[in-house]
Amino acid sequence: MDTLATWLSYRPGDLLMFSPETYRRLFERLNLELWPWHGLLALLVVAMLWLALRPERVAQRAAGILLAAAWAAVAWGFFDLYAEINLLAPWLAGVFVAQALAIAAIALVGPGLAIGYAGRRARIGLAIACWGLLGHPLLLLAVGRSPASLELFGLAPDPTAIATIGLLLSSQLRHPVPLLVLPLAWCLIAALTWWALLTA
Amino acid sequence: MPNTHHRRRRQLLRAAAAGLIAGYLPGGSARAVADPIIKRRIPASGETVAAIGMGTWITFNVGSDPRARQQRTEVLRTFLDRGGQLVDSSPMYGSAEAVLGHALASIERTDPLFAASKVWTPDEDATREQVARSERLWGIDRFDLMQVHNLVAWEAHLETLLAMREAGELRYVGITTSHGRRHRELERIMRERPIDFVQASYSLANREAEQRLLPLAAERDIAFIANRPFQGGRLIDRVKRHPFPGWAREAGLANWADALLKFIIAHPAVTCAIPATSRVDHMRENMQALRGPLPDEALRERLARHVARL
Repeated sequence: MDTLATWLSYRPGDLLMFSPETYRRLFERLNLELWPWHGLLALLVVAMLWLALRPERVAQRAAGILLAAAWAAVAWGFFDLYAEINLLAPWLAGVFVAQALAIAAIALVGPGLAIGYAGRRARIGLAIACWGLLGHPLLLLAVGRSPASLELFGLAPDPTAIATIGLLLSSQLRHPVPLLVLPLAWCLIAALTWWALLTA
Repeated sequence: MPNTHHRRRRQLLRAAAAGLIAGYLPGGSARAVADPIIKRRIPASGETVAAIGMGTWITFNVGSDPRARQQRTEVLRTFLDRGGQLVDSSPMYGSAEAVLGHALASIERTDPLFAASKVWTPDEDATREQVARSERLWGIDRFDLMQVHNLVAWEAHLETLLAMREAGELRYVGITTSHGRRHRELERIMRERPIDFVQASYSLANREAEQRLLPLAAERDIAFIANRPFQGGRLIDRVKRHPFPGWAREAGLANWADALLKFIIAHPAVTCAIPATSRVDHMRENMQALRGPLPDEALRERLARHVARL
């Protein structure tokens, strides 16, 4: 009971061991490492969307592989840096590895990633995907984040999770919910992290 | 050789000066020694240590980022240049120990560092392994002080640390808590175990330690390290929104950081306060508290009443 009472007495901010500045700096360092290949990243995102809109199964499979690669890239790149400042990061990276494997499985042995405009779910999904791909970084710019520390799809976890939620909702998958669990879980973790950082 | 000789002579002179100031105990007069560094006696040995130390929670956890590491090196350099000695860290603080080691290796030091870290693992058999890892990260041969962090698996760790102290592998042994947690258990350890240091939260806005821990530390001859002197930055951020009172300035206090820290180290049972910062200008402010007059009891209470109203 004592142990439980002790843990319950902590505020979220008490458990974070890094500052907001250090967390933002992770994205700056990621962007520095990628530079000057940001154009290639943008091309891959456009290619993923174009392939996902194609009717051919092989294109849809390729789109799924690119989405899985984005999750794997975040697990590999972002979490490698994040692990330096957060002892829980290797565990959190597991979320991204698991999601990359799940999407890769859908791409290789399932229907792939085929998105469309028809229906309310698909349109909401596309709006969320656009938010993850463009809206999220633009909002950060608007609130004063420097261009060098922008969070981008395929590099940073938040826009990757948001865009994936949108793409899965707009996809023709009959049961997208199981694939939404981990991106939604990450969004919750990210929201708690920022809340703790900004209120600590 | 002449350089080494000169350095040793300077160290001896400083040690002699420290010895002279060792008997200086605050609380009686607000206008005592003006310029010398305020040092406090460690009851277990009689050795003295500068009353303002440096914490590393959050501030030194910057990973391998070269720019941030350079900034932290300058923070540590400022601390040491201005007479600071006790640096406190923990394996729980992410990369802080590695960043400290990098900074220490970059600074040519002439004054003795008082290296303090902690054991933080539920594995009761991993005490020595973790101490050795911390020594490697800091780049030092031996810790001055090794503490059991937040009472985690404390009985086994304490037993091993005390054995290491007996064998000369450590100089002092302590136990820590923070945020006012598990004070009853801490008190029991202070009464029953031969520890040299205890570390707990104490600040102008969190005076719970005054009730039992500080009197017990004095009674048991245990050195007291005050962590979270600015309450993780919240206290200093709050008071800095208000002008520094003229009466406090007239009493010899320079600014809010100086006042908050001197409030702590003016308590006779406190050995050292360990504020943490990532900024050189803030470190300069903090280190002002290592010199000048300490507030007497009346001034401490006036400060507490004033801050409570802000």
